[in-house]
Amino acid sequence: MLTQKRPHRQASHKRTQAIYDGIATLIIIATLVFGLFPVIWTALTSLKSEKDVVTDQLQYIPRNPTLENYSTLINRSGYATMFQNSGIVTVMTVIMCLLVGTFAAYSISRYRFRGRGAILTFYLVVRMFPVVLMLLPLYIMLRSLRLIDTLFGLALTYTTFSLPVSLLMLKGFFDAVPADLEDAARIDGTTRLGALFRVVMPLARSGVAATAVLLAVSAWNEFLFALMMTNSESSRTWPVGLQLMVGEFQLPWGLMAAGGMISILPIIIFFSFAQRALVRGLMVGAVKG
Amino acid sequence: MNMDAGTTRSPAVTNARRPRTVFGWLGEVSEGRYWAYLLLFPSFLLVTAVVIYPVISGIWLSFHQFNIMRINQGMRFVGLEQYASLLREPDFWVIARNTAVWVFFGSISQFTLGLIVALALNRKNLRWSPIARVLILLPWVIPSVVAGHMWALLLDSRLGVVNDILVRIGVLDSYKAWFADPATAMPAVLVVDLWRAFPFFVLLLFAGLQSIPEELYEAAEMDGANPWHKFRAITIPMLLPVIVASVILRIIGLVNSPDLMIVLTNGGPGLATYVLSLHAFTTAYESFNFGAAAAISVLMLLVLVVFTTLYLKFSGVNRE
Amino acid sequence: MSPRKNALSRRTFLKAAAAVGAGAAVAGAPVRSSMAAPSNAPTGKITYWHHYTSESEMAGLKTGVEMFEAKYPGAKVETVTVPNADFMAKFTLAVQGGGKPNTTMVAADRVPDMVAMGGLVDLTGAIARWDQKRNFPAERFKAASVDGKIYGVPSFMFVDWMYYRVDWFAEKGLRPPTTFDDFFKAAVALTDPAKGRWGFGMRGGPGGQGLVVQVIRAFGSPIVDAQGKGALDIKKTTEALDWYSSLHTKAKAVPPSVTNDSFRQIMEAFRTGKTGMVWHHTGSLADVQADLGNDGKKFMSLARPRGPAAFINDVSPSYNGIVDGSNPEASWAWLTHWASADTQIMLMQKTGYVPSNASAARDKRITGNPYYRAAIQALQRGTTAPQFQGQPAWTSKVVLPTFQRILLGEMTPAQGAEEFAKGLDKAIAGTLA
Repeated sequence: MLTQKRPHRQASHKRTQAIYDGIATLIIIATLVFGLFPVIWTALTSLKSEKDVVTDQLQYIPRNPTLENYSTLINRSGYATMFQNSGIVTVMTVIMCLLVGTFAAYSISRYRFRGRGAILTFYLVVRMFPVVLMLLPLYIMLRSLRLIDTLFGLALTYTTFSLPVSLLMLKGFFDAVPADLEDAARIDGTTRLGALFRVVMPLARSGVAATAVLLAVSAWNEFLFALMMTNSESSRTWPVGLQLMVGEFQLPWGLMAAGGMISILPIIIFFSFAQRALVRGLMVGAVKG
Repeated sequence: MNMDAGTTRSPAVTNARRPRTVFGWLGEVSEGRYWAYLLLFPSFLLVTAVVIYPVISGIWLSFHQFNIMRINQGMRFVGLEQYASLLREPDFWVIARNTAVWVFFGSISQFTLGLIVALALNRKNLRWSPIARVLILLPWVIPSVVAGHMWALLLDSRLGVVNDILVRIGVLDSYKAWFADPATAMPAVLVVDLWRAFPFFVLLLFAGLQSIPEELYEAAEMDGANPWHKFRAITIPMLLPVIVASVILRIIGLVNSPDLMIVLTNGGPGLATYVLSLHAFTTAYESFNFGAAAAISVLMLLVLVVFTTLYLKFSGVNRE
Repeated sequence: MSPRKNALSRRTFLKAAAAVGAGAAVAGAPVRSSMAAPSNAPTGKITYWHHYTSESEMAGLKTGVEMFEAKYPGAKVETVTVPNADFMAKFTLAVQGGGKPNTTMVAADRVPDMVAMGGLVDLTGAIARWDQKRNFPAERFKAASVDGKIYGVPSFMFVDWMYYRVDWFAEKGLRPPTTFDDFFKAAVALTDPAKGRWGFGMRGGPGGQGLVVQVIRAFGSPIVDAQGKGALDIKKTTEALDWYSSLHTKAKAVPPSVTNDSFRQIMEAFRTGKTGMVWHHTGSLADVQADLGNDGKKFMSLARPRGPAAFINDVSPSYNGIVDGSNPEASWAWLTHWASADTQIMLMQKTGYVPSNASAARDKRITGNPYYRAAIQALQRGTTAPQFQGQPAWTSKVVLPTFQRILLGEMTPAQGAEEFAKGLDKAIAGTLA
């Protein structure tokens, strides 16, 4: 690199870099304070009893910390089933959505054909049309397919509604992969499909991982469809259970906060796996240089 | 750059002309003329099957007088009357203006913060940034039910810790009811949504930054480019597809989801935080006036389609 | 529901939805014109939709199910919780799209809408032959009746009342208010912002709309006439809105957060000693007692004050109804189970809800409790809220936001009254957006 040739410039370069790193650190710390304070407050609230929340003596540190909220939550019947249901629906949605979305995104990103823009907008309409009016027709359709009150029916709904997200995001990430890399592979005799999976996907890996996280979070937290499309305990998902527990009239603060804390966990685990994929993606990038 | 690592892994691909496996066969198919369309087929099927009918029936419904609680009155074709009576309503324009404020300030603030944080996280020397990356994502992961209620508690006029802190440091004289005052209700909801949604941009923009090849920056440095030049000439153009995609998705999200309003203000006080998505929802499921709800929905759809088309056009992402 | 109307509604709906092969899905079980009291022993599994939320309500429901299944060993009940706010949306989907529950909880103000969409089975015949009918005064069925037909069996009662701080009143030497004038004066006298005290915890946020309508009635204005047409008296409505809103705008006797204060906020404010009076129903008694004790030293319950023209203290039964008549025996048994004295007293002990069954309401566990004195009085002379189709839409989409704008000074009470009347006509016609 620049090293031996311009020692003076390197020193000043280092100094500027240090200043930038300092600014970046400050930004991150400030953002963490803003982002995490409500989360920390949720965690603290989950350790308080109702009496210590609804009080005119605001408590920063719980005076009588208790795990009672968590034990109440875990002892609620159906808690484990709901968690499992949400997990299954989330995994199904992410897999279906990534698979279908990758093909579509690759096609739109790489091939120039008539009506490309129109197709993209058409897909986005799914996302744009207010859900309010989709509910009833969708309900009738799923019912006639006998998919009401099933996890697969829910996953299918989520897949459709998340498809524009995965399509648009993946297209963005695929666009960023230079086309000449693929051409080089094609000259080596790789098929187009091979080029997609062996060249484009590895390079867009961090983007694919980010999209997967995006899809997982929205499927894991979705409420309205889940409420409307499921009845029985065997297919009810966690956000519905959480909303019912929170209730409308009585707000059990501690219990609700505990519910929030518990529902973060699976997504964090999922994210750290995705992050690993993301880091591996970086390594592939490093190798290529 | 070498792609050997990728291409040598599967014999099925190197020997693609002799289709033995499913993958090999698909590889063969991928050389055909209709490959681009074949790739689109599964998603097209899904979207068409699930969405076409609800959207068309919604548009059709918007030309009718139809209240689902008065089924014996049936459906009456009224042409554009639903639209006309909506637009005549002065409240509708208040709600439309609220929606514009909500979407404009929401998307700008969330994108700006998201971009700044993503750039900061992308500094290679910051070893602890992977942990920060997970932590910054947390607000977005908490279910919106819990997030909404927790913010109601944080900003509560009696139990709220934010009020307590502001009083302690002398910004406020006494606790403020943020959601009860029309001047502060919308800004307060915007702050809550900024908190909840900026990680969305961090996640996507950071992933986008990661896929920009390092060589480009190195080459620019050789040419003596300063950081601002590099940002203008490399980062922004390379990031543009991801920026465009994420901004569109977020705007659609802002236009269509009333869930924060439902928890925090229910559109109030008065109409201060009433937005179109909430209006469509209550018109459908409180007034049960499906005709009018359909008209509101179609108007929202129209505005979004026009906006997206223009945005895609002018951002140059789809340039051939 | 008559079979004709049912067929008609289904056809119209199919047209409306332009159903893609969904005909089979929409077809529910055919419903008899009026259900007779079933004679066979109840067997099989039935579903029940409800919007109970709190821990104590859930415990009551669970015990109720166990009692039912012990009484009828062949029958099973599967309960499905639906959040109150989303109840009508989900119910609409089930009725119009198929997948109806056998039975459901029916809030009184939703009866006209639920009947109009063809969601409830006519129970008139069965109730006429029901041996427990004598324990229910005729007016208990009033809110469940549409065009002379009855669609619900009463379970527990919502009985309105108010709470007041006994100690604050003693400090100021005031007597508990019985009229609107006394109430206003007390609210002003109890207010002391320096101490963080407000006289009245007004519910100006979601849920407060019902109280606004009660005040209008107390000032003597009708809401709808006998033909079901909007009949607001603009002058009286204006007076009512002026009186009620001036508690905030002029007297400053309610917390400044009023326009965002919903159930949670008004109860938390009262329980933490920020407000001196609050209007609610008996369902919150247990919570308030947990914070302010049950010895009558800090707070007491009281009937609502009398308005200038009328005494309005609403009592309204919660009902249970049949949606899908495919298992009439078990469904009917389930409905009457919740009307029986045993079940209702059990529920009252778990939750605080007052029984609708007259024999249960005479039980010592109720009459011997001083906190329930106001509720018993209300049961005898209580009023019923007017019911009409479109009422929930009018109150939540017109009354609440308009009243908030009056509180904020964006509108005068007179302008508000005009808005109320305009919105009422639209809501009744079904054209409210």
